[in-house]
Amino acid sequence: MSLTIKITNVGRDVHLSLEGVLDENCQLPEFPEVIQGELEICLEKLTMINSLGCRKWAHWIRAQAKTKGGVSLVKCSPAIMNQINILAGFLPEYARVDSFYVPYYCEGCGYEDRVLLTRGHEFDTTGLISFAEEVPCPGCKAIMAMEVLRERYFKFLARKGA
Amino acid sequence: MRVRLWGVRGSLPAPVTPERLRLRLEEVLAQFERLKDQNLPITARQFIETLPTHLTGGYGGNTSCAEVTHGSTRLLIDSGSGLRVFSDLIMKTEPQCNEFHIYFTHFHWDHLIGLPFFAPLYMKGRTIHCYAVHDDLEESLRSVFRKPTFPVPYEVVQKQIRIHKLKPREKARIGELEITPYQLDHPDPCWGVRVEGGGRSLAWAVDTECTRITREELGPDVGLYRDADLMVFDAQYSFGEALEKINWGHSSGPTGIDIALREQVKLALFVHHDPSSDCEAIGQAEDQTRQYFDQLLKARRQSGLKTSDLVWRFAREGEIIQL
Ligand SMILES: [Zn+2]
Ligand SMILES: [Zn+2]
Ligand SMILES: [Zn+2]
Repeated sequence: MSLTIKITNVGRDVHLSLEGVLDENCQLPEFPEVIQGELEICLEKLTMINSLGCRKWAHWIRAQAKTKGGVSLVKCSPAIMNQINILAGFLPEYARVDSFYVPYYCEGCGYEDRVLLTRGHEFDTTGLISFAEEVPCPGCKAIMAMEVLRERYFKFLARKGA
Repeated sequence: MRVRLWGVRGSLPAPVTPERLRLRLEEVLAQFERLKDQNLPITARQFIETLPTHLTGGYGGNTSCAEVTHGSTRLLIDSGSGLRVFSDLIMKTEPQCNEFHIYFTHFHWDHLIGLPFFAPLYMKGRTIHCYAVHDDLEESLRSVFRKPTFPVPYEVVQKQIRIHKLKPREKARIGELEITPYQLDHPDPCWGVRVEGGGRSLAWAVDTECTRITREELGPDVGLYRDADLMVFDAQYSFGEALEKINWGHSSGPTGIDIALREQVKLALFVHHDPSSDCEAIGQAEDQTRQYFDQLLKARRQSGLKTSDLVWRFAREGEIIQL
């Protein structure tokens, strides 16, 4: 298992996408110059992160992710959200989570789904704006519940800068 | 092989204050009253079993010292304040015992302060074998027995002491045990130790920041951890604190979990608890590590990787582990 990184320049912004496993063996990119715009990091396909990878990431983001427009994390997978909430220090204060997935599970038929929550729509710096803890299952029409603990999963919203 | 932990605190002894003990007692009795009010049939002993560590015995306040025994061989690792407790017991139960072996990881005071209170050092006919990788082993021991910090000069205990300098990463035999020093990551040179006997192994990795983490970075020092039956690991800080405290030389629970999983350790015990953390805070760090571990296993399952049989906990003073 390894980490695949894609980098694209979009105007003055840099888009980075991480796919796979973030652990001690990962190689994160170096940016020799300050990014003039925003650094957007897509974590949709990050399947696993361990604490050694988290430590490496935390050092990297502080040393390498120098930007004028800030750091934005988008489409954070449940794997990353769980560890962001447990491993304090993953996100420096100037980095924002702009969208993240919430996993749902249907006890009736075992169907699994994830719903994307976006800043300004379902949540903002004050917390959750609109969001359903239960949704109908597209498979069996029973009620699907959130597969995570509310107090834990949304804990990051309380941090400075969120 | 049997391991007994005589001291699990780091940096400085941290005894429970009378006030804290009183508050603990108050909290425990209040909880018991509430149960009695509900007429739940529960004995005092059963009730105590339900309480978290910080409300019962806590984690302990003595600094680094462990005892490893196999057959007729007994090895001590470090001489923190826990050594005095061992000394008291041995004087009562085995006063005739005339040979002791102490391995020193390094000479920070939390690993040395028990030494002047080790009674056999002052008894004729006793031999205390001292082992370390450091060239200045004897000089470091001498520095403990010196006025004005301690009244008895080194010359008084010197007759009982035998100095053994060990080679890095080379096996040495002590009776029925074999020991191999491996380097840890600490501000002053610190050598962890792998102890083997009777087909069982102990990896002692205390006072380490684990700045070298991949197998490549660790190089030959990965041998300390590989397939150990028991790993004793430095978890002085919570994960967040450890991120901030760069070059302080200590680590956290989640880091130990990852190393244990990768190196196929069977049992991991976390020690060197911060003296500034009360037992409740240590309990919280243990809970955080538990959440981390559970999430990691879940992510491994979902990725189709095999999970793990690793057993681990934050260690309490006095624990005995039979391997
Ligand atoms: Zn369903
Ligand atoms: Zn120490
Ligand atoms: Zn030390």
